[in-house]
Amino acid sequence: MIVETIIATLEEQADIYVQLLALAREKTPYLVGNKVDQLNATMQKERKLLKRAEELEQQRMRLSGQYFSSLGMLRYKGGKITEMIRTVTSPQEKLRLTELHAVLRDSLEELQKVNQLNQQLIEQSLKFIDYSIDLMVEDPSNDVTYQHPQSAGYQSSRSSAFDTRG
Amino acid sequence: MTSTFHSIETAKRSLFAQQTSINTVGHNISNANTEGYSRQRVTMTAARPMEAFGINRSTSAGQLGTGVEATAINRVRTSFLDDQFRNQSKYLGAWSVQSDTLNKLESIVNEPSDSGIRTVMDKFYQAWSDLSKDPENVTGRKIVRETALALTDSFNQTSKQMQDLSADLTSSIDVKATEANTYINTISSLNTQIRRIESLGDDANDLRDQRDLLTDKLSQIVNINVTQAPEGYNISMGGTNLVAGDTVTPLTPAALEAAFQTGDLNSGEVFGMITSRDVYVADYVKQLDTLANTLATGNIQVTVPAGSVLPGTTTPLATATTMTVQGINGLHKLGYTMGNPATGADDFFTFKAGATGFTAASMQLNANITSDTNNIATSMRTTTTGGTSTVVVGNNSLALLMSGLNEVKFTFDQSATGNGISEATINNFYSSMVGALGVQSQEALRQYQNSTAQTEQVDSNRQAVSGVSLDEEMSDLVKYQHAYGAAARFMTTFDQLLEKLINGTGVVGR
Repeated sequence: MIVETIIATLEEQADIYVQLLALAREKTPYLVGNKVDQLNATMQKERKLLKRAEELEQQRMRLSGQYFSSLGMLRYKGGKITEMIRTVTSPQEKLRLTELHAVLRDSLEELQKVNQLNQQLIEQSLKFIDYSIDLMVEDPSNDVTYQHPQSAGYQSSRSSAFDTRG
Repeated sequence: MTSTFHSIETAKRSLFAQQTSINTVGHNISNANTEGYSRQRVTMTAARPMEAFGINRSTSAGQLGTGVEATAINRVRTSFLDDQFRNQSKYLGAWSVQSDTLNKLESIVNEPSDSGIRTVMDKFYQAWSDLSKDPENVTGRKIVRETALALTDSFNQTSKQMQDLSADLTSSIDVKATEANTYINTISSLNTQIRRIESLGDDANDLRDQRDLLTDKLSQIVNINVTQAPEGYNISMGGTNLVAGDTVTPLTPAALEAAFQTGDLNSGEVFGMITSRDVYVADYVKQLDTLANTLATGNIQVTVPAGSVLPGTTTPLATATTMTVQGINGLHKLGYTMGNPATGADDFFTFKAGATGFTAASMQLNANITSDTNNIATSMRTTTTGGTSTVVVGNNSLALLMSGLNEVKFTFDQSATGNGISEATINNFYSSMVGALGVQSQEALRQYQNSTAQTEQVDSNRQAVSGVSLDEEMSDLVKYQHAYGAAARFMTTFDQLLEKLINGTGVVGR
């Protein structure tokens, strides 16, 4: 039965998103405490899960496309779970799909919020790093005066400690 | 030609410079746990070589150095991180207060629980339902009265607690204004002290640390903008100047409220307090008032059964009639009390003396009912014999209608609540109010946790730069101790050389 396969896929997806959520929560204290090594390790785990999540999403889209085609509802080929819940006839499957829908929605919503915080933390650190680098490296856009176009020698006369940009 | 005693001076400078370093290390170690302290570092440079001009210039090869000099003692601190910290801590301040207030509101509303308004209301309807089974039963009537009293008490109590919370917030604003003024005054006097000391060429490290610490604390109370000017820190809140060098503009609660209105005050604890009071608490008070008012007088549709005699008439209704009445009061007035001859019932709820309308605070049970439960109407029928109407005491139509009210939709004054609910059952209105409170509280808690994480991050960055690392200080201590020992050894050596020069010269071994 195709619906059972879809439910199995969704179950695995829900499981992966719950794991991703746990990892995202784990990252927050690492970001706060500047623990780059632990952060890297967590991101390795995350990468594996993300790859699997992407595969599963492809699989789910293919399966639900097949399901709606079999029903002759080509309009819904993209396949939303809510539409599927409406069309499924078995009560057990309906119940299971509704539960999975709730789990997926909640965990994705929470994941988005946790990621937002992590992103803000990273941005804040990056601002400091950017500031620190700017202290040592002159901004290339500061070359405001005209120079003789043929004398390339002038350009190397930057007063910066490190010449890492351009 | 340098002096014969030149190296004595070099050794002395070395001893002094190393000693300064050791003293600074000691100062760092002793302040390892001081709040707001940033570690200090001695800048050492080679002293200026003495070389006379012109004819006195030595012809000897090379230039002899003159030792070391401790030129400055600086604190290690990044003002960029200070700005980042102050920018975050204002959000932390605002959200911590808002989250706290919503938390308190949640515990005032106290749902779901055995004592919340919802339970009390259910019991009220249940009492009517029980009474409808035996309308003449005195116990049943008393239970209706007690549950109605519990209902009004619940409303009064909840409203009172919310008003108290609002008053608490107002007095907290006063307290915070005083606290902020203390900081502002100290910062300004530090500005003066720092300028005085630094005009002599020294760095007033410890005073600067204190000033930064106070500025950090101020940043949690109100949103501030700090600029460094020659005369010290200039601090402003939006467009309002708080500190400019040694000039102070003190904050008053009234000024803070005005700044809240103009948008100058847009973050920090005081902002959180005013928002909590004027937005959250005020809104829930208003919703609760609307709820009480609607329960007592809001329009509802009821179907009066056939055979009922409407007040002011004597003929029973031939068919069941649907009509609009004004809340529990309106419905109660359709019935008759137990008195003889038949008298129309009075309002069920009244408002306390001095109030102008039904609010959660002013709502009370009609005093007639409190004193005599026979004034509770259950019957809607009368019989007329010989010109006098008598009430049919066994009739339970009104009690049934009352107990059915929990399923009836009331009309709410939407303009008063602004929550978009114009028609709902009392229960639905109340659940949506409690639900909204839960969502707001959860969101505030999340924001609070987020800003805590961000503040912690900046603070840990700042600690990484400015914090005292005891390990590092200990290794510095050893390093400077060695240098001091070596300098002392150098002085002894040179002393021996001079001993030879002074006591041994010209005696040719005698």
